[in-house]
Amino acid sequence: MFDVVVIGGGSTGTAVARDCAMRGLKTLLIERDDIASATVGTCAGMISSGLKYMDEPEIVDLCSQEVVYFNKIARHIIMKNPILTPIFGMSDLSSGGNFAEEYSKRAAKRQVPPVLFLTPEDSLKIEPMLNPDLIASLYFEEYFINPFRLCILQAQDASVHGAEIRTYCEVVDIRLSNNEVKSVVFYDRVSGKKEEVSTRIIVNATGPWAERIAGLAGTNVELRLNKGAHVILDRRVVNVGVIAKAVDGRMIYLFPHESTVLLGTTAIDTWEDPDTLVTSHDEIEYLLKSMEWVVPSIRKARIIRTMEGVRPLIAEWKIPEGEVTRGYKIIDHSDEGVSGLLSFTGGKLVMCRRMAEDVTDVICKKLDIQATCETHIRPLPGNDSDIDVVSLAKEYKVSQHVVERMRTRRGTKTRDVLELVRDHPEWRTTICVCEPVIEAEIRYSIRNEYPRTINDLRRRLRVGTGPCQGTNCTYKIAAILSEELNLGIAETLIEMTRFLSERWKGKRPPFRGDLLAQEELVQAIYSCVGNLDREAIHEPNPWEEGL
Amino acid sequence: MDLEPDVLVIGGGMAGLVAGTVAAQDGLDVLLIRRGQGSTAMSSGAIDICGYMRGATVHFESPIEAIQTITRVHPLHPYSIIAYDEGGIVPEKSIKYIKDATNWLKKQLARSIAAIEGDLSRNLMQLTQIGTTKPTCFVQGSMVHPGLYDNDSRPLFVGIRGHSDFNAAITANTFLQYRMDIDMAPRIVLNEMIDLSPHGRHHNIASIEIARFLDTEEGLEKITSILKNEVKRTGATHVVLPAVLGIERAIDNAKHLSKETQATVFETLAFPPSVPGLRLQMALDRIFQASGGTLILGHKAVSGVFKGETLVEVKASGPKRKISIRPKAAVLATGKFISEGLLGSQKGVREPLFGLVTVTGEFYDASEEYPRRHTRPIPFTNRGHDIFQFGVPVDENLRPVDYNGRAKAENLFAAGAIIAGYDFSSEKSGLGVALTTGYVAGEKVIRNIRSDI
Ligand SMILES: Cc1cc2nc3c(=O)[nH]c(=O)nc-3n(C[C@H](O)[C@H](O)[C@H](O)COP(=O)(O)OP(=O)(O)OC[C@H]3O[C@@H](n4cnc5c(N)ncnc54)[C@H](O)[C@@H]3O)c2cc1C
Ligand SMILES: Cc1cc2nc3c(=O)[nH]c(=O)nc-3n(C[C@H](O)[C@H](O)[C@H](O)COP(=O)(O)OP(=O)(O)OC[C@H]3O[C@@H](n4cnc5c(N)ncnc54)[C@H](O)[C@@H]3O)c2cc1C
Repeated sequence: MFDVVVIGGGSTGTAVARDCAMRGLKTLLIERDDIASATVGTCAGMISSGLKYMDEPEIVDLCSQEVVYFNKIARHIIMKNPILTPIFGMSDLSSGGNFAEEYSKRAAKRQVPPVLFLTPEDSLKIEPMLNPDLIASLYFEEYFINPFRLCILQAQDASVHGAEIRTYCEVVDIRLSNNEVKSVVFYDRVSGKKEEVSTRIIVNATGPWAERIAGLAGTNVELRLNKGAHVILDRRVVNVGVIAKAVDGRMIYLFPHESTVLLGTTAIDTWEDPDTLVTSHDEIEYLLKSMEWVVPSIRKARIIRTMEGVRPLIAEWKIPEGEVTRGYKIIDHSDEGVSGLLSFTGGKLVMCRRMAEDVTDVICKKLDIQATCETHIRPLPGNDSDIDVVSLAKEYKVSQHVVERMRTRRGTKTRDVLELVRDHPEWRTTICVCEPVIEAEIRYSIRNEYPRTINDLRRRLRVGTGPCQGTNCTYKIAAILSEELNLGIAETLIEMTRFLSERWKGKRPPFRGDLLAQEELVQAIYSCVGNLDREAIHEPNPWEEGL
Repeated sequence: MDLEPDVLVIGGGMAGLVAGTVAAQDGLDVLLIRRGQGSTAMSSGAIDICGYMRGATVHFESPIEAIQTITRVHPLHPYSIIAYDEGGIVPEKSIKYIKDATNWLKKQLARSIAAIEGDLSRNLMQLTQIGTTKPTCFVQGSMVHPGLYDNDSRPLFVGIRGHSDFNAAITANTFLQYRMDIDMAPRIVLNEMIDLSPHGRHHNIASIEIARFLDTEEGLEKITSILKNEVKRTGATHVVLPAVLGIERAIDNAKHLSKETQATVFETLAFPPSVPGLRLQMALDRIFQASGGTLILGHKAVSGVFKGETLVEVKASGPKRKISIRPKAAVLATGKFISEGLLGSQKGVREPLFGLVTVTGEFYDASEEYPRRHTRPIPFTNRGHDIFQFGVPVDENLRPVDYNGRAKAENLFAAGAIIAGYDFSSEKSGLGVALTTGYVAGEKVIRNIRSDI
């Protein structure tokens, strides 16, 4: 008997599992796919002060506070980036002023400078790629977090505190007795077996799927689902973030990230099955066209891929998406006559810890447990102290660049990974050259972070996310995964085509330029030489229906 | 600089080098310019003629059978185009060309670092780096494995520590599983990891480094003694290695190792960066030069000047200079997307050098066809993506044609992956089409210049 079953392993669900476990509740987290496999993995990772939500000061306050906490508990997976908002017309200048005021009020607390107004000359000094017609720009700084690592670390910390984490398990039923939740039935996709667990409370943290899960208990949730797409470009077109007005007056952004830039995002109300969505041609052109005015060189960069997600917004209608509150709601379904089931609507990545705190407070009250929240004080795994990249690199004879990249994923746990090369010097070999990632970290991740597929490793390690999109490393990673997990042979080959298919999902919508050459190479390696087009046909993914 | 060769070949992969060599061996003055390495140097180095029909799951037993089928079913396939005679397709003509081309190549490559074995009467099921098998027709001497499929065969897969391209255990098991699925020998496979660290390093070892090491006496001695022990210990009949047996000496090394170990030592088909692909490319370069051809590297052809129906000039630029070339005839062998013989934008596909007409796999104008629309949601199916059949349409003389089917220029020919109407990955026909069209283009150029047709 569990105290709490959390359904959904995104930012919200993993945060809830962590909080519940830390407060001593017997907790189970059930995720139908991998941790961070859905919405959270498609977001920009900005843990923002809320530029877009200046009309909701309480949300701005909340977000600012959360940033302060994240800086305490997860600083190894956080980066601060400067952002410019170029201004081309007088009307934008005044709205800029309002923003500057709200932002600056909270700046000191967040350890960022207040908003600066820059002249065109100074703006261009900071970012020479801007359209020189600007009349001024706003300069400020925002924090970004690695959303995958955040979820993985939250889940790991939850299990350190006694929670059970079950990935690849899909909830298929919620059973009630006397209008009270009694148990959760789920299907284990790896073993192929159905299981039932009893629980006192269920937290429905399934983001865009919340309506469906609520429906399993005969209850209702209403969401406003809104699709957002990103285009990822292969070089740092800009070296600072740029926020600009799109063709329709919405705000869009261009954020440098490692050696790439992220261009986003669109906002389209959707009623589609989120699993089948892909970015459309129109979305890509909308983003490029809009940013081209501000950063004229944008089309010179090569598109690496697109990615898309669905925002599970609170159901406010007849207003543009941008005006829908960014707040969240916890729905206690006892109002509908079913007790023990709590659902989330709305929210954002940046609020996930706070959302968890609120819902756990409600749970503790229901279960009559006295325990206070500590998720904002206790560090996530790897954040206990600083590490010295230079000396680690020397000690283990691994390049500094590799160790530095490792540090941004796992902080003090970097040493645990490097320890593996003592017995296996060959595991210093770089497997994913784009990122780069060495074999030791792949083995470590497989042994400690419960991935089942190459795609899961991508989320944990960024393998296969660079310009080559796994062309050169997929077969190598498949072999390692196969050895570590003892996969069958057919499964190993299919794992290669499955991962490359997932990559193809994001390469197909913007298919142009170098992407054609790259796909010719993928086909040459895996079909022409590897013969996998004849020997490893996988079950179609949801977005692949119809040839 | 101004040059006036008889023949200008643009692009130096299989197609361009074969065309150039054929023309040079006929006594013509041939100049070949190449921007960089293309697909040929990346290839596994085994020459596919045709392994599958697009859409088929069962492979062709022999390339001959494949040509007979393709010439019937795909009248615009390059193998069919070269078989046009008096308005109809004569399959025997295609087969004859392929026979001539492959016999010629075999002879040229004999005693080279990429000497090949095989014949058109059967497809070989060749073992790949990941343990799958694929149909191909000609393999380099270091890749042959007589007896591998015999009942008493006991192949030992040998990986090299720190060389991540080849995981001996997984490759061995994949191969075994496949043989078990079709209920055929071998029924036992072994695998082992050895230390060969060419530079005393045990990680990040590239295939090419090992190959260079095995070209040295020291390297050969080292691997010989290791493999001797392994074979003795395991009783293996074959030793399966990644494609690293040497650049200059791979074939001799394979022979030497086989003799010393008393087991057949051979290389699998490689993914890029591929040592056998490099060997093939180097061997072709040398043959071309030995035949009197002139190779200009690092130069990109950038534009052409046509007068009426004749190509009169090609401009090229290199790192430090621009050159103007006024050939009597030219062969365009610039490859497909990888080599930038074709470029795609979101709006369509074009041929960047001469602005030639490009077509889809169905031979519609490709200049305004969104590439995405010619792909499938699933990347790996037995039908491939149609976009990879895009290319330049040619007449039966391999001359690129305009929308009316008329040759763009009487003295411009095309060869290799730039030609429309086939998908090498799906068909397993890449180097075969490049070789054959290169060979035919070479002959056409000779006739064009010698008898002015
Ligand atoms: C394009 C885009 C950009 C964004 N940018 C930002 C940003 O910069 N900053 C920010 O703060 N927020 C951003 N957001 C919002 C933020 O990503 C989301 O609000 C948040 O990540 C949602 O997390 P979640 O855990 O609630 O949902 P999800 O991540 O979708 O998690 C829900 C999980 O439930 C699982 N699930 C579903 N059904 C079942 C079932 N039957 N059984 C078991 N498991 C199930 C799913 O597999 C999924 O993993 C962005 C959103 C989008 C779409
Ligand atoms: C990874 C890989 C593995 C493969 N494996 C096999 C295999 O095992 N068996 C098989 O049969 N086939 C294989 N193929 C397919 C085969 O390699 C190709 O189909 C074949 O090499 C095409 O030859 P080509 O001469 O037409 O083009 P390429 O070899 O691509 O040569 C084109 C040349 O043109 C040059 N060029 C382009 N534009 C210009 C310009 N403007 N000016 C000057 N030079 C220019 C390029 O630099 C290049 O040298 C493989 C292909 C790849 C990519």
